[in-house]
Amino acid sequence: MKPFTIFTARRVVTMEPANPVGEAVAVVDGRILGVGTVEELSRWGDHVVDTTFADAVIYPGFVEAHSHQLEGGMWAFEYVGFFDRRGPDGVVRPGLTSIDAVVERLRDLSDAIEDPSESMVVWGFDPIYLGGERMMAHHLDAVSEVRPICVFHASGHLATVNTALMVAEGFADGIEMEGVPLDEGGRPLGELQEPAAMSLARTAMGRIAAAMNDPAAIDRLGLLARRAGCTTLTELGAVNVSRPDLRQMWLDAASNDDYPTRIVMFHNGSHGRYASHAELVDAVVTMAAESTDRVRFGPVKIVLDGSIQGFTARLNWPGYLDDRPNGLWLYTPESFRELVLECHRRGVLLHVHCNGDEAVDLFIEVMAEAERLHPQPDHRYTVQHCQLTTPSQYRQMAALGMNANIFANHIFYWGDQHRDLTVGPERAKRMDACATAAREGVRFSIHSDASVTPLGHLHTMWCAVNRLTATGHVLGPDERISVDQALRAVTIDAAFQLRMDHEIGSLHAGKLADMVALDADPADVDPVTIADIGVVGTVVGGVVHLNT
Amino acid sequence: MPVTLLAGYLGAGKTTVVNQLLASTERRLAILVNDVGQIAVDAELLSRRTDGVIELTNGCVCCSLAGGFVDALEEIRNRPRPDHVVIELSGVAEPARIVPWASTAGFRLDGVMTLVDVDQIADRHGHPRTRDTVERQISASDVVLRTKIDLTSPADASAADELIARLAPSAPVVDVVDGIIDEALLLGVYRSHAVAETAHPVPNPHRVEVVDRPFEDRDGLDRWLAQRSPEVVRIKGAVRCADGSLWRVDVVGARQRVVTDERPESNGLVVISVG
Repeated sequence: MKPFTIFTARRVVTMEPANPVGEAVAVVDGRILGVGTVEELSRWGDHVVDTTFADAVIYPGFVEAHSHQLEGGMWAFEYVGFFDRRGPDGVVRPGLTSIDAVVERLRDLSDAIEDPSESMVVWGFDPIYLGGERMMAHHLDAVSEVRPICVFHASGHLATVNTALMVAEGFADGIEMEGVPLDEGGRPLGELQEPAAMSLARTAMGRIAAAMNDPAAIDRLGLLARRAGCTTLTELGAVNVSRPDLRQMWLDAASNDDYPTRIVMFHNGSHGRYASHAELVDAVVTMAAESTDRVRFGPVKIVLDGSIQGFTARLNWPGYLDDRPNGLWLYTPESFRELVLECHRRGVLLHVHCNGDEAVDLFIEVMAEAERLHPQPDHRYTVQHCQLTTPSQYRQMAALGMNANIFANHIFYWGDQHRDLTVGPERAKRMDACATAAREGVRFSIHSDASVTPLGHLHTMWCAVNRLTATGHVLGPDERISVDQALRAVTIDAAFQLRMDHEIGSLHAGKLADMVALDADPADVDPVTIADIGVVGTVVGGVVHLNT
Repeated sequence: MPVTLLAGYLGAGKTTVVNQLLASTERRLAILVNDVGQIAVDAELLSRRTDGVIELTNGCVCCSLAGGFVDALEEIRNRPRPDHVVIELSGVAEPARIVPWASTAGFRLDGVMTLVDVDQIADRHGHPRTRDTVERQISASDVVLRTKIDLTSPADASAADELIARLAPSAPVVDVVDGIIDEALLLGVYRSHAVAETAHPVPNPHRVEVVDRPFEDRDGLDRWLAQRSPEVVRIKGAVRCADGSLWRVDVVGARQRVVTDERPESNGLVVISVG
């Protein structure tokens, strides 16, 4: 054996039952040589002992199976949301809990920009937590009367702009357009509702769009992954990978050994122009061949419905709490069937966004047909979000070999709203039902959907284990899972649904040397403090990335 | 730039209409399509009549900020100005949610044309999974385009008509066979079209008339518009009322827009009706 490295640790947890813990892990050529005692590992021959993580607990690197590059893109701008959020620079932005606090923060940010006419974009503002008070142009005019300011809301469906911005874009004196509320004098109040109206803030939206497809976003995403302890991320269909130039950008930016995460890029079934679903799958198969060790192409993502908090998810009876109309299909059910059958026939991995239970029904129905037509016992097709999935749906998913990736973070961020506004207490209690999935035999992961909620598997585990809402209520105590179940969900079971469990997600000889070093063992601490555990650093393919 | 939305459930015949339009039109069109896997727009026709099809991506801004309408409309703004923009919506798109895009900078909504496959609509409407989607598509329409009428039994056709009448009571209904619809009905009268008071027997029997009657004032104009026959598909033009006010009128089926006209010329109203 050529010379290798032995990383010592307070404890190495492998997530492999046959060899669950060790005191060290040996690494060579980016792969794991073994986990055991230093003495056991030394028998392989020449080595150096690396004590960087001697005081830390090493786990398999976390695998985030539902995230987006937006998380890296949005941090081109400052965050003004309600909750504390750590940026790629490691600095925690304290949550801003009133409009006044946001205005004060904007003043500081504005003062720091020299050119008084340079536009300013901020993001993450969420009035849902502010007791209904709305932010309007006059709030932002108090920050600056000359600098165009755009506050992009967390929902993605609203923006608030100041008068200077409206003057610059030429609609300050009035405009007749849906989604642009006016004052009594016919002048816009500064709120732009829904994307069509938001596009009036053309320069600001252009800056946001440009930031998304900027290589700097990929760099920031890598920093965020390192801080979150994630050694594999996914880009679940926000980047249009049907575009060769965008694929190349990711390959260039993230294929090198110094980039601190692997990334799996899903092809969104709504992207690209293909004459048929067969042609779409051909293109995906071709793309997969471009994969590198670090940047993987090949899986397909389909978005079937909208979101529950946006009232656009497809729900079965009795629907939304206030009797409002059902949500939207974002992919035509008949086309969905064709694409699923084609992917399944060709063995292409498919993940489907289903927030509502009606969407889950459709996916199950089509999977049952696919299995009859082209039985493929190890497909690992996954229901993404899986928020309102019922016990019987979980039983059908288990029978069909389907996986779930459950949006556990919703319990904390919107659990109170789901109980009070969207679906009511009974269904809110069993939303994001990790315990039911486990009980009914569905292998599952849990996710952040970054940037919808912050990337961070310790926090996501905390959500699934404690089910505490933002106001401190336990929502559905019977759907809480154990710390061990949560650890599996963010490591080996996440890897499984990406068809990467032979490479990542646990530590044993032969697997990729992807690890996270924590300052405490989640299995030892009070479960309510899991989110407070610190990420010392990560190892990706044997390369150490420290959070200093 | 006028924007026409072509809505209708998957299989209703939207792409066929777009192809037929491209084959016959003299206009320069910008075509936006939304249904991946359903593109059948004839490539040769496209290169002749447009600068190519622009892809729209599904979903909302939370799922794909960079995709979708912002980019597509920006692309059109940056091209040689087309005469008309046609957006072929996805089979599940709800036109009411797309309408606001047609009034963003540089664009104005012409109308929402919803295609209804009378042979299929009963199945779609009968299924709880798709019932509300087709209802929302039809009720948002300014003009209903019936397709596949030649393939449909009289009983199915009349059931479809009942549904259309219930959901879109003020939308005129135009039949489309093999994707063919007279361009004046679909997109309005083009500058090079002779406007004559003639009957057009094929493909869609319709009448074109020029109305040059006197109106007292805006109220009188509104009263006349309110009493129009459900067979009126389009009214376009300018009127000078007896009180001296000038109005530009643009009616597309159930949709009506009357705005003050700054320009002094008044040439009457061109009314296009079916039936």
